[in-house]
Amino acid sequence: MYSKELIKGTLQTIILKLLSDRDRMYGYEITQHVKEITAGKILLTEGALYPSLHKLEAEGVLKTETVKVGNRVRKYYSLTPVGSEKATLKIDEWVDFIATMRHLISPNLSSI
Amino acid sequence: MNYLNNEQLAIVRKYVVKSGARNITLKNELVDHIASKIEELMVVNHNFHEAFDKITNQFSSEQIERIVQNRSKIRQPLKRKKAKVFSSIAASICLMLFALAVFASNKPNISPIPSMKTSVGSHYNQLIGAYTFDISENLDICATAAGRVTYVRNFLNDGTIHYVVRIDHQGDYQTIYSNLNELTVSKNTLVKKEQVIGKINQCSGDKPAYFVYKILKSGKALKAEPQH
Repeated sequence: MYSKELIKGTLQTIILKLLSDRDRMYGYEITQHVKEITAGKILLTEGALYPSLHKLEAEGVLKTETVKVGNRVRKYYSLTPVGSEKATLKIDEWVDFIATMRHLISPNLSSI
Repeated sequence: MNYLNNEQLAIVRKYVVKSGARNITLKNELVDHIASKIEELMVVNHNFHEAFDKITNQFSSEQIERIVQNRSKIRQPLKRKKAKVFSSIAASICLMLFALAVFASNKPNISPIPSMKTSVGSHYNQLIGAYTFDISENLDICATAAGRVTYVRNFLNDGTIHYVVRIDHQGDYQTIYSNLNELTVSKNTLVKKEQVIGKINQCSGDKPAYFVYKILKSGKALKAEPQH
C-alpha cells in the first residue's frame, strides 16, 4: 500500500478519472473499485474520500443524485460539464507528471 | 445480496448520528457506506453485530467527526458567498426601487390640487397647451413633482394680485401654476412632490377661480400622465 501523502496528492485525479469512465458512482463503490483495479495497493479511507467528494461537489465539479436502495438512500456522484473538462486536464497533467518522474528517477541516457 | 433491515439500519444510523453526522444528506451517505460494508461482510459468514463491530472499528467515530468538520469548512464559505450574492442582488433591487421612486417623484402628473384627478373639474385646453380648472372653493395648490422653483411673478387680474410659479424638474420637465392668490414658496425654493406652493382663496360659488396648470417637456407643452 502506498503512503498517505502520495494518495492524498492523487485522490482528486483518481476520483475524476473513475467518474469520467462511468456515468455515476457512490462513495463505497469508488473505494471498492480502486481497491480492485490496484490489487489493494491503493486503499482509500472514508476520512480522505468523502472530504474530497464534498469539496468537488461544492466547487461544481461533481453533481449528485440520490436513489432509494432497499430501505436507505444512496448518493451518486457524476461529473458536471466543468468536471469533465477538469478531469481531462488533471489526467493529462498526471500522465505528463508520471513521465517526468520516470525520467527523473531513471533518466534515458540517450536524451542527455 | 440482502440489504440490511430497518432494525439493523437504525443501529447504523444511531452510530452515525452519535458520531456527529446530523445533517440528513451526510447522515444518509455515511449510513449507506457503512451498511454496504456490513452487507459485504455478512455475505462471507459474519452476522450483523460482528460485521458492525468490525466496520465501526475501521470507520471510527473520530473519522466521521473529521468528515463532518471538513464538510462544514467547505459549506461555510459557500454560505457566505451566497449571502454576499444575495445581499448585492437585494442592494441592486433597492437601488432600482429608489431610482424608480425618485423618477416617479420627479415626473409631473396632473394633480396640482390635492385629491383632484384628471377627470374632475379640469379641462385640457389645446390652444394654450394647459389644463384649466374652475375652482369654486378655496384650495391649496401643490407641486406635482419634486423640483426647484425657478420663476415667480405676480400680476394684476380683476383688481387682485395673482401669481404664476414655474418649477423645474429632473428629466427636463417644467410645470407652471398660474392664477394663485397666495404663495408659500419663493424663487429657488426646493420643493417636494405634493408640497403646497400656494393657495387659491378668493373664489366663491358664483364666481369660480380660474386656475391654469401647464407641463413642459424640453420646452414643449405636454399632456400630463393622468392619475387613476
